[in-house]
Amino acid sequence: MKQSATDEAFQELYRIFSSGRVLDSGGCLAAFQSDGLTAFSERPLAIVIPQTEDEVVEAVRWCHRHRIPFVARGSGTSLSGGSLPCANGIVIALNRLNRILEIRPEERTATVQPGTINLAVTQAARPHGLYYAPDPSSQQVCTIGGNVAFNSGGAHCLKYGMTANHVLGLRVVLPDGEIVQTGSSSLEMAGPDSVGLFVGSEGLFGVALQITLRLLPLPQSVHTVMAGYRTIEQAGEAVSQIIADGMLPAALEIMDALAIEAASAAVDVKYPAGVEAVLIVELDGTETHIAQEKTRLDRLLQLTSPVEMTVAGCDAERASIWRGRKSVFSAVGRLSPDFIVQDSVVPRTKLGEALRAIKSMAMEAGLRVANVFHAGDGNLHPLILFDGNVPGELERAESLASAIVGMCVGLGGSITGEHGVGMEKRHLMPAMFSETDIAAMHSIRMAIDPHELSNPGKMFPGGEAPSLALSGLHPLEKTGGLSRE
Amino acid sequence: MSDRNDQPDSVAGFQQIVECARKNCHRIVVSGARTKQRLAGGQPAWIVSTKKYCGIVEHQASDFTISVRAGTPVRKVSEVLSSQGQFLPFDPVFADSGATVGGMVASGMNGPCRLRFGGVRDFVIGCQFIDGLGRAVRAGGKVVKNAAGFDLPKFLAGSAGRFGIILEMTFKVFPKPPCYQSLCTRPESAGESARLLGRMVHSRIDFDALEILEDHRVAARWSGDAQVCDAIRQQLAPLVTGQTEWMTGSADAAFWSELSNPGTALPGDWIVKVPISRAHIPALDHHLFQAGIARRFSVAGNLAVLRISGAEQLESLERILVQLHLTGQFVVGGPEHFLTGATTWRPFLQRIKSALDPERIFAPLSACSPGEVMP
Repeated sequence: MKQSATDEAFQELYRIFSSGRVLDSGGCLAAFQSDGLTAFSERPLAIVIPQTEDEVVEAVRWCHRHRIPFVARGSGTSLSGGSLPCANGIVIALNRLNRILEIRPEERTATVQPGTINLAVTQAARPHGLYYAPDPSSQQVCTIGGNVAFNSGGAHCLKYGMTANHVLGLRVVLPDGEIVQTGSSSLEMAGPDSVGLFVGSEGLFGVALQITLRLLPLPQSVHTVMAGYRTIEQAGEAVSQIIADGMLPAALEIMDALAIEAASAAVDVKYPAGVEAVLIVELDGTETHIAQEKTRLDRLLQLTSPVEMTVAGCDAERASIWRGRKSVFSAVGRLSPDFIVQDSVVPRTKLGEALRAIKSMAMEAGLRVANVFHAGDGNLHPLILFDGNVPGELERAESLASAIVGMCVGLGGSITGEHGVGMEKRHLMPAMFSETDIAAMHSIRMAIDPHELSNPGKMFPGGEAPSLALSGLHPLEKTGGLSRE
Repeated sequence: MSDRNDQPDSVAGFQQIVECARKNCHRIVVSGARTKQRLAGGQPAWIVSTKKYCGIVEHQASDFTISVRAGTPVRKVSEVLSSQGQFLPFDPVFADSGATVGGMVASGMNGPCRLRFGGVRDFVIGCQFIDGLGRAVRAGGKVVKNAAGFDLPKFLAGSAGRFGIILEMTFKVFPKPPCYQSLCTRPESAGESARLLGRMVHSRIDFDALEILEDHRVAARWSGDAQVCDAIRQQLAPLVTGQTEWMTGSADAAFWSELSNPGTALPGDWIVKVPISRAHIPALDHHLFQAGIARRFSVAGNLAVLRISGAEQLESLERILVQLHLTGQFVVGGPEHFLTGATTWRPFLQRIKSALDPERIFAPLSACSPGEVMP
């Protein structure tokens, strides 16, 4: 433990949390030093592991009393460094608050604790004919609390929106320890949308203790098609045709050749041979709606001259298509020792232009970029492949990443579609917002957390970044505690 | 201090008024088309109208986004979108009365046909507003997916002029359904209305609207192409017994237009929206009946829309809402405060207020007791 922390304060912490639930030794801390963005690493003072809401509140109040910053953390899957610890603070690990407190099938709501795994909500709701729509690729691991903090998305955002569109109510402990309740279990709200403001606030407003989620009825009918195209431009044109036809698919995804190569190596999915891109289109809804729409879709896709078109004939085939798509981020690790994944957005109509620009910039940088993206809403995920052991490649990769983001913003887009700003993109906030805009947001942050204790150093530009320029292994891999294989 | 009634036509014009209000410690109230009078509440001092700050800034039809200045009539936006086969899926209210985009967002009130796709909060993606320090603030963006910065566009939905002057909003839009059909049926009792509502919710039909009207009739609307609409009608027929009116075309449009433009039965009536769950309906219906308060249960039982007349009903409403742990928002008329009932919202909103309107030039969040400083 660092000398700067007061021993008395930590003695108090040890009294609040029973033995074994305050971790402060090197090996234990290593597991929490990074999150999904392994380029950054920071060792906190300690990790506390609450088991109840009251203990979370106690931890936050302890932090407030002693002015010690904290980072609330679920599974640490953030790809923007959003759950990166701070050197002079603690991590509040929420994994043990993983209970689904209540499912109300009549009201179509679920109230959960923040450490609940995203997919677990759907698994619990399914017997009632319901499911939870937001489906980030990490949904088997990521937690609802983290989804709330970063307004997570997923492949089905086009029709169903992001996490914010599915959170109805929150019970929150603010950074000074006050507990507030916003929203309810209703689809409607009275007054300003405080729930909407909290979701996506990147942990800067405190810790969500209970989250009331909206559940949807399981679609009666799902129609999933995978079409392979000779060029990525053709795939993009197919998307434009679908949108122009007035359809509202549940999902519209494109994977390029490199992404296909990665996914093929990782999971058992058969992709069409000799294609530069695949387009995945999914329709879902009532049997009545889909019976009519699927014919329309299939006919339209045929007119876009795919090399091959596969319609999922059963749930297993559908699951296989999605397993391939959702495996890409981790699968590119087979193609390259290191990679940076970006999350920028362009207006959908600028996708073609953006992809051409990425290709050109990648060639200039001498790096490969695998592209997988949510074609329906313009959310790109260029995966920049590099080898950190080659001198200069990390810097070229980071420079390319920044250039891609700048290009996307220049086309009228955003620096982040669903991963959040976190640590990684805070220096890019001025690309999107003026000083006045950032000052206004900062004043809101300061009104809620005047001592900047809750997840400090995230989202707002300025300040030193913690250890950067790590490449390759996660700190836990370095200690031998974890292996990717 | 004399009253003012300003109609700026530029961002700088709005900023000047805010600066003047700050200098003179005066309150300002934002006004659009005044379809929801007293939305901002309070003794009106300086009225700032957005009427001259209007126009469509940008409509990217292929990207399904539209950016609009606050003083633009909602009806105009709907016309422009409709010409491209698009629409605002949250069924804006008071559009026929000339409601403006700024007021539509500030009230946060959705029409009955928001059920299928979501409310105004689900479709706002970008904003510009002037806060209480005169800052012209932009948040969100112009793309349908954006996780950068705090979601102030969402926060402004339902903000009722308490945090700033809305200048411009960007919306995500959807393709307009080709065809609508609807029904209106009269169950035998209020209890049967609630049960029918439940059966329809569980029918797995994707309804655009599901309402229990003031006279306990049940109304439903669905959409799709003609074939789909007819198929849904066939599915519904066995569910509805008793006197039922089936509507298409102009009859359907007129029926729902009336619900999306809720007038007040008498001058001086106020309209209050109360977010609820279906489970609240029996108890709430009973209490409101006893208090003589007219009510409609909207959005498949997620919203109670109430008409309040006079101080006695206002007091009764406050009592009922506190008892049931519900919060209501005045949408048309109302006392100085715009929220009533349970006050769990207070701690969080007060902090935001202190950031965006520290000098309290916009209307307060709640009424105060003597000697209490208004938040």
